Amino acid sequence: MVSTPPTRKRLQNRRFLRDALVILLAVFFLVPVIWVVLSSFKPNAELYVVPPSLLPKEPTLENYRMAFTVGHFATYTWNSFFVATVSTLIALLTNSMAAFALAKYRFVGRQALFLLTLATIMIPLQVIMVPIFLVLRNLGLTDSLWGIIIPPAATPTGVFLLRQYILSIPDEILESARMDGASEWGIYWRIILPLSVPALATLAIFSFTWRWNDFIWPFVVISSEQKATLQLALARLVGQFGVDWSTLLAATVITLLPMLIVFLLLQHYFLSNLTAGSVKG
Amino acid sequence: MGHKLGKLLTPYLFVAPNTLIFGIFVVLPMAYGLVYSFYRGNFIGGLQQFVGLGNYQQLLQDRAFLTSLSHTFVYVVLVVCLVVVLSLALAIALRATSLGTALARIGFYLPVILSPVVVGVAWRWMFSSDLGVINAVLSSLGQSPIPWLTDINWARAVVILASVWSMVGFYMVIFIGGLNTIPAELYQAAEVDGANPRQQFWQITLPLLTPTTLMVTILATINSFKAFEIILVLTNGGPGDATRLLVQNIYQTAFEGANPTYASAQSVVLFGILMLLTLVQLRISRED
Repeated sequence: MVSTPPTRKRLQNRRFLRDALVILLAVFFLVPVIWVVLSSFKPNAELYVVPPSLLPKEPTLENYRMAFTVGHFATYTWNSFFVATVSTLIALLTNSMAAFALAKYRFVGRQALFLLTLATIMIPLQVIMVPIFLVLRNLGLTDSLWGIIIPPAATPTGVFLLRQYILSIPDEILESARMDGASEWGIYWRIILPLSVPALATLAIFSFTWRWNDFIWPFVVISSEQKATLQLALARLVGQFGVDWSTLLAATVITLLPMLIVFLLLQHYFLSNLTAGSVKG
Repeated sequence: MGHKLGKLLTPYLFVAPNTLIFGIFVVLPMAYGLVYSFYRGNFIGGLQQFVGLGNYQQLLQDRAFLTSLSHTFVYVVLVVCLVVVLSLALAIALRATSLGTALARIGFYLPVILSPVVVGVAWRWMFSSDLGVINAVLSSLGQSPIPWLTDINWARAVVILASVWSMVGFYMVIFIGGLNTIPAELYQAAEVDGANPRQQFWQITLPLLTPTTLMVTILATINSFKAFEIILVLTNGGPGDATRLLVQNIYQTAFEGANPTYASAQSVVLFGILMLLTLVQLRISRED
């Protein structure tokens, strides 16, 4: 076969073919999620029909109604929102304060503190889940939402990210503010924080998704039913003898929906190289 | 004088809240855990008897622990190999920028943002033996259904595939970043010299991508050693203990077996493994 040099038209066709192929592959890859979403709209009886139809024949929101009422998923959704939001706010405040000091002050122990922050990345929750339960119990924080809000708020990743960012803010700005009589807190609050908004936004997005998806924390800390987060409630539903799939599937969609929205709206934060290498957690 | 002291204290006040949380909820538990591993005791009575390395000696003969440890090693090796190969393949397929590849990147990354519990439920629903869509497809093709989650080998395969599925997108993005650092002129020159795409992959892409590949390998290894939630939801470690890994064994020893000191010794072993891997990682990233 004699190969002809590719014309513009042929190149375009090849590109189109490649694009169609990779999109098709991605859709196939997502079958586990798509199948959960489609199944969640099927009435209970239809879930047990073999072979199952691709689309629900009589689509219904009954599973969602059941999950929110009988299944208490309204409570779990609120708990998850509360935990993820408050923990993220605490992280933004405490991480940026620490990052500011580590970036802009010279003080005895700075290097040691920085290394400590670095070292805590090596200590995942899986390693300390037993003693952390004991610490929380001694502080009276077991079976309390604060027990899953406060401990993960001191994210080392957040301190790193913000420190890197604050380092790039010129010292002259801080000096001239000091000349004008600004207090150190005023400098942090009125200059550093507003200038760090891009880094703070990145941390907020990641922190919210981490806390929303956290499972081991509530699994170890929360025992009562009203204080469960979505992840914990979901795992408990699966653990029951004879899984109630109709409620479980709707509950799964309720749990994944906020993350899906956050991701689709802000996907460049997740797919950019800047943050891709950062440690998860 | 007071003003000067205040100035001296300022940075410490700024780092205080974060350091306090670190100290109480990370450093203190770590120290607790280490001390606990040398004792015998329980949740109610606390530490009761110093046993030195007794817990660690017991680990060496503990069938449940050793089984979970060897399962973990096999799981990690298989997951990491699959993740590295597949995420690299995806990165190469999607490295060009166009609408199609951009959409496909979003699709392949999506499982990364799902919680491990959601991943577990989705895969369990798909691979359920009586209601699962996979078995429905099999039977419509005239095949007999497969007991995916109750057969030892199939359960292991599903657990590994679900883990890989939830991770590849994350490493794909890292690989795309690595690919973008390879100068395009190298490929142009190779093309002029008549190298086919396969030669280009082996002679240019793979060698120049080595630092990224090492980083992905080590990160995926660390993350796989921590695996717990997906498996808990998918198989709960079963059938039997076929898919029970180290973290689940620690959890069960501590909270179901009410033996926090013995579980602490297991945690220290896990910590040792993770620290070793992290040191390797730091070494690699410094050489970059």
